[in-house]
This record gives sequence, structure tokens and C-alpha cells, in this order.
Amino acid sequence: MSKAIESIYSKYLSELHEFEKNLQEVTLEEIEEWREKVKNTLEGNHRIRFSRLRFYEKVEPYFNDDIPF
Amino acid sequence: MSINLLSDDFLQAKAILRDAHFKVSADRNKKENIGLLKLLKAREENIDFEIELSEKICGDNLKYPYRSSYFLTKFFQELGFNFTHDGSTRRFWVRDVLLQLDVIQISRSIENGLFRKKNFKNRSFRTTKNEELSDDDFLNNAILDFKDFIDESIRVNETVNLDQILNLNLNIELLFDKTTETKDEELNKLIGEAKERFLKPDDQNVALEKLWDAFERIKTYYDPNKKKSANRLIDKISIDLDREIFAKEFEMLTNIGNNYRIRHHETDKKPINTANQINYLFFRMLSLIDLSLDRLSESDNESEK
Repeated sequence: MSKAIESIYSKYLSELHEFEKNLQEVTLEEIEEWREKVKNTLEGNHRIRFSRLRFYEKVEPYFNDDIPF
Repeated sequence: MSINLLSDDFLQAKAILRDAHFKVSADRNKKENIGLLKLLKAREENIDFEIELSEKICGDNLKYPYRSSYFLTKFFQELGFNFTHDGSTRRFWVRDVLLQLDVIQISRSIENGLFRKKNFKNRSFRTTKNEELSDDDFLNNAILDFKDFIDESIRVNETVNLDQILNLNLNIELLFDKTTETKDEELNKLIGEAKERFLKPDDQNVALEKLWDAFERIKTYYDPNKKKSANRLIDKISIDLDREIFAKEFEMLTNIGNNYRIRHHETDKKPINTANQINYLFFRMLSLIDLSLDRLSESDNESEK
């Protein structure tokens, strides 16, 4: 059982490593999908800590181009 | 709208996954892993683990060497980590760095960084609050504080056993609901102080001593001759139960007071060590005193008529 979980964590770590290598090409869907499956595997405070991570933020443009001048 | 990826969150995720992986894969028979697993347990249980450790590394906790911005950067770089303090609040910056380290890296930071002996000898790392301490005392105080930090972190989510709560409820009437109002002010004071102290965990041995003092006092309530007075009291409380039961209880509790470290502290007296033993003796004695007080108040009322 612990060997199986051990290999799952190893897999998640490799996937994270791939994300880091290609950070600019990662899509939000890929991040969300990965986040969900990792969160569901972790337990206890590891899960709580992981759930607090956002991984990305949406940045509003300073000027609203829709307002005509 | 644009998307900004938070690289620190990816690093924190990596630390969490490495810890989770270590927890399931570590060989529990290896000596070095036992310490790491204990540290990991403390980190898992205490959600404030990183900020509390950060205060020790910064020296905001005065039991540890104070580190300015320059020395915080040096602290991590000497350990082989590429972090440079960005000028933000020191303890929050260190906390965020720690969140990116796995338990093996945290352990290395504690062993080779936080407890590096030369920093406890460096007087420029002292503040006015700890400059008087010798180098050895400074280091030893920090070691003790750190042991407490780990132990308390592990225990932080412990709950109180339901049996203990229910037992306390049964005894609430004895502890809270009655004030002692005999004619003997000294006796009233001893019982009141015993009950008050019993509620403070650090004072329970003193509570036991005060209660036994009250017992010795109550035995002379009717007469300065203790034997004569105690026999009269036993007569009064032996209504529906055989007199022998109470005579034996008086004798047994007197012997416990004489042979155990309750009122007498000579080296040949046996210590009472556990909370359960203290609870048992305290409430056994308090029940007998409570029963006796009922009779005393009756005889006080009779003598007033």
C-alpha cells in the first residue's frame, strides 16, 4: 500500500518538475486538473497546506480599453 | 486579463509532496530518520510551524541570536540555498522561505544553521534582552526552548479524553457549588484554597497538601484532643453506614498523609507522581470532608438554638 502511494507521489513530483521546466507553456486547465488530483491524494495538514496554494493569479489590466475617450 | 504564475507556490507544492513522499518511504529503522519523522510530525501537526521557526531564525524570539537582513541572507546561502532577503518584514520572508523547504532541508537549517555554536558566541548577535547570558547558557536556553517547541507542536491537536471531562463533571458539585462556612475560619480557608489550587494543573500537589491540612484541622473541630474530637465526628457521620467504615476511612487517609509526600517531604516519604493518583486522592478526601461538613453545619445549627 505504502509502495503504491510512494510511486504516486514520485509521479506527481515528476509532473511538477515538468511544469517548472515549461512554466510559460502550462495551461490553467492543466494546473487545475493536476491540483485537484494531488489534493485528493494528500492527507491531513499536507492537504490543508496544499489547498492554500493558488499557483496563478489573474491580473486585471490597469486601463479599461472598452471606455471610449 | 493576463495570468501571472506564482513560482513560489510551485516550490511550496514541491516541498509538501517531498514531505508526503518521505513520510511513506522513509526507513523507520534508521536512526537519522527517527529524528526527521519527529520533525515532520511537528510540522504536520502545527499549522504555525514555519512562522514560529522563522521567529527563532530571525532572533525575534530572544532565546536565539538576532539576525539582520544581511545575516538572514548569509544564513541561507551558507546552507547552500539561493535566497536573498528582499527587504520585506524579516519573519514573514523567512517563513515563506521555510515553506519552500522540505523536512530534510529544514532539518539541515536547524542543525547547521540555527544551532551553529559560533553564532551563540558572537556578541554582535545579542540584544539588550540577552546580552547578560554566558555563551553556554544562551545556547542551552535555546536548546530547551526548541525541545518544547517540537513537543508542543506534536501535541497541539491533542484532545481531552471524554472520560476525564465526564469525571470532572461528576465532581463539579464538590469543587464549585459549595462554599465552606463553618465556625472555624482557618478550616474554611484551607478547603477554599485547596479547591482553588486544584483547578490549576501546576498547583495540584499544593491543593492536595492544603486538603490534608484541612482534614487534620477538621479532626480537632470539637475538641483540641484530636482522638476524642475525631471519634465524635465519626459518630456523627455514621448514620446509615456502619461506623467501622468511616473509622477505617479516617485511619486510612491519616496513614496516607503520614506515609506519602503530601504534608511531609522527608526523603523516606513516597512521592505521588501521576495526575490520576492526585485526582483519586483529592476527591476521596474531598468527599469525606464534604460529608463531615454536612454534619458540622447541623451541629453548629443545633448549638446556636
